Amino acid sequence: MTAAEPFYLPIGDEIAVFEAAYASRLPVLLKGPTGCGKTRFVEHMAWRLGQPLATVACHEDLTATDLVGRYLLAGDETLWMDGPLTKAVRTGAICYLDEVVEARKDTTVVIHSLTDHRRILPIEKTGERLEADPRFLLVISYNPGYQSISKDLKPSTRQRFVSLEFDYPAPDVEAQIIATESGVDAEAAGRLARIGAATRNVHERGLEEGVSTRLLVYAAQLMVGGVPARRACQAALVHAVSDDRDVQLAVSDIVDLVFP
Amino acid sequence: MTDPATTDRPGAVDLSHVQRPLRLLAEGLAGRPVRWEVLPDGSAGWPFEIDLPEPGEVRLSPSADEFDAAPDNRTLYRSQVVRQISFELFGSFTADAVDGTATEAMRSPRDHPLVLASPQRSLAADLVVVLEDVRVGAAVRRSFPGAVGDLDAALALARARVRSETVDDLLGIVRRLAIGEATSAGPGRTASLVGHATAACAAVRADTATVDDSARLAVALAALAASPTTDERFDTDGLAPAPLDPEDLDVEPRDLEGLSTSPPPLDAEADREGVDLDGPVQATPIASTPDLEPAPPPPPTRPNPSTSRLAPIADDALVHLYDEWDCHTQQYLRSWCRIVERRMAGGSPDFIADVRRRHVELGRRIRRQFALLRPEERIRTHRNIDGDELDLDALIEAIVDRRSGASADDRLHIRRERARRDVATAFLVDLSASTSSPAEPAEPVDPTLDDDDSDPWSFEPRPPTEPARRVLDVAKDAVALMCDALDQLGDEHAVYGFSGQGRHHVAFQVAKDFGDRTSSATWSGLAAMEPIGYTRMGPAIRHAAAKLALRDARTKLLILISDGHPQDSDYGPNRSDKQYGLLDTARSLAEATEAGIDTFCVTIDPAGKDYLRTMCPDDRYLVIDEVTALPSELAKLYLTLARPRFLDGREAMRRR
Repeated sequence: MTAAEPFYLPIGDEIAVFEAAYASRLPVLLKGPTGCGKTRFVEHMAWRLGQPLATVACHEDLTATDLVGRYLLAGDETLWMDGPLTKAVRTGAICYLDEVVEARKDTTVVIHSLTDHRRILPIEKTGERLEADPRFLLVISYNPGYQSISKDLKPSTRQRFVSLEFDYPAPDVEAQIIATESGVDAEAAGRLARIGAATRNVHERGLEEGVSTRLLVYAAQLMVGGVPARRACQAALVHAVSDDRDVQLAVSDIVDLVFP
Repeated sequence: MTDPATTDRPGAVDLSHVQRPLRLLAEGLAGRPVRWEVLPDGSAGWPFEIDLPEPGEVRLSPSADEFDAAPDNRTLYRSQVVRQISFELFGSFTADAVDGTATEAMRSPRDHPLVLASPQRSLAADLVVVLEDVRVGAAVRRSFPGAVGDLDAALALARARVRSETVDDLLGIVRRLAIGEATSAGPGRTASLVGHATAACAAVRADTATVDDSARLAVALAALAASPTTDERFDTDGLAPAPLDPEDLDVEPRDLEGLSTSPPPLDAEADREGVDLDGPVQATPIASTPDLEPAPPPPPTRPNPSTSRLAPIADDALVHLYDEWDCHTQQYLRSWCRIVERRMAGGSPDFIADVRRRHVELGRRIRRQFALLRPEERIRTHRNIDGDELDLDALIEAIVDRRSGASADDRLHIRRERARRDVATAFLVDLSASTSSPAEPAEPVDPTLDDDDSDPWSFEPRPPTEPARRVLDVAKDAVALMCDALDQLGDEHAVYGFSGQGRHHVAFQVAKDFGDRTSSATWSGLAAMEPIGYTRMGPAIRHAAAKLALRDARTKLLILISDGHPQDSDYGPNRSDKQYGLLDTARSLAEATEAGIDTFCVTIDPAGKDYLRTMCPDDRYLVIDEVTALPSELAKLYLTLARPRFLDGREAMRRR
């Protein structure tokens, strides 16, 4: 469990909905673009509910074995090692599978039995049928924006979760987040939030994703560290959002207009 | 970043080379797509002319050469974009209703209810445009502090052009104030107009000012100009009109000391008789022409490449030389052709949306069919450090090793891997001028339709029809649909276009190269391809094959899409020699095949069978009778060519 409260500024009623879902042990799906605060929200909720959190950043090589566990060779014998999901099921933690659609399809099989009334995790290799601790909750996230059609979440999986939709915060809220996270002054935070909003408008035309709140916080942190504003934005935003030179130039122009 | 390409005047920047990032910027600021309009050649735009675009519109001149350095001219474009977008951002098109209870959308502040109700409507309409320019200019400075230096530089240039001019009419005075240039105030009436105009400009610069304030002040100023005396009270109504502020206006007090003695044209309304209020609004120069610097001479016309042995090439082009096969002497002409390779950009940003809209069902079908190509089976790889299960053989060996005192291998796991597709495809599209012919024959007039049925006096406009689709348009659609589907499938692909303008200038246009991600730049590049020149296939095939040869794919495909036989102005000893081009093309295809590349020619020329037999083997070409069938035929072709071409498990392991 996290000792200090992870900063999270609510945008709507997501905290209340999550608390209600947890009370009924309903699995939760967080949808939203990269860097808009999904992971921070889960960290905050775990702190708020007083539960430990196991976060797994999913990637395309992540298999069910990686989640459930595997036998390892220890001395002259094989030893079963729980994966992060099994550990969370046993100990009653909140297990957060970040960007779950990136993982291989076999992971969804182990998720399914944990997301309905059964709340069990069958471990094929040990023959175990693990019942989830009453405090266990499964939370997954995905970003419908950039993942390809072939990586979309199947309805049979999606409909097992309570869905919370996230988006980038409104500029004034985002400015507040940037200022709190980085310690940058309110005026600079406001300008960074304006850059964020403008680049997200470019999204439809050339950017896969707009500049995330996380990147804006990075830029602010660089500024607090003494890097001049335009240079900080170049490093944290312009080159990070796209490899397309024209898009970079457009984002760079936005930065140049907002910061003298 | 696109390098600002220069035109013939040093430092000049061509809009076509910088417009994509500028357009992205405009849309980023506006929060919606913008209409992009290129002003007539010779229009300099703001701040040399003051005009307002319509909502969501950006108007720019075709080239910027006001500054000596290209980066400064590019920045001028940027300033113009920001200002034009800002009219909408800062409410120039939304008037408060007269009773203040609602707002009203306008196409222009000229249509503001107060202006329309003014007895001096024409002058008030001109004035409100300039006052809005002043108001929004101040708002831009407050909101975009990074733009202030750029705006100042542009204004300084505009002021330098008008400084010597004497202006004594109210509109001229306000226009000069808008660029921060004071008008020399003569005694009496002109001085009074200058004072009032200055107060109005200062008032609209206030951060609380709105378009309603601009309209009200424009109407008041117009009324002053029309009245026999200007001594009446000029009400800026709580907007705290600042007195003449030398800092604000960049003006020396001595500039205000009497100069103009000519009587001001007071009856501005009468002066502007004949102005068509409903007609298109023309931008007017701030200064009259005689006081402007002499206009630069028009750029010389670039010689037609087809008539030039070494036509100039763009700065960003890459040049490659290729041999050509001379069938008459049966030998290669060494380094005979010059390929000029260029990245394409600047096409319509709506291109891909239009393609997807036009081919909804076909696009869906192609994606579905291509999805079947995805290899689903997995291959088991043994002896991995990490994996899904223990590798028993490796485990036993490790335990035996350990017990016998040898060091044990720790690669003890089996992994199940997805088989990879391993295909690289280059689409090579013929861009010769003949591809501009209509894709479908014009619909014959139906003789049963009798014109008498319609009202002969009706001037109802006919419903708009989409412009006729050209052969190239259909080819571009087909390639775009393929790119969409191949992205999903994960097959590497590139999109090239080619045309010939003599052996020294074989244009090779790149919309998407291998290694590029499909992005808006791909669609913009593809959309920008236009018919030009002839069909010099040989060097284009050789260049595409050279690019394919560098790919590390097991299957390499080169798909040529053309509408006629190979030809160029100098493709052979004389232009009637069709055999020369055919045999060079055949040779280039054979060279590609030797290099391990599968080639395939798709042609929509009905006579294609006659010469394709000479050019390539029977199973390596396809003649399509209906141009419009090209997209679906191309997809079918790809399914056939690329179906069995992915790594089997053993091959994957060997490579790993």
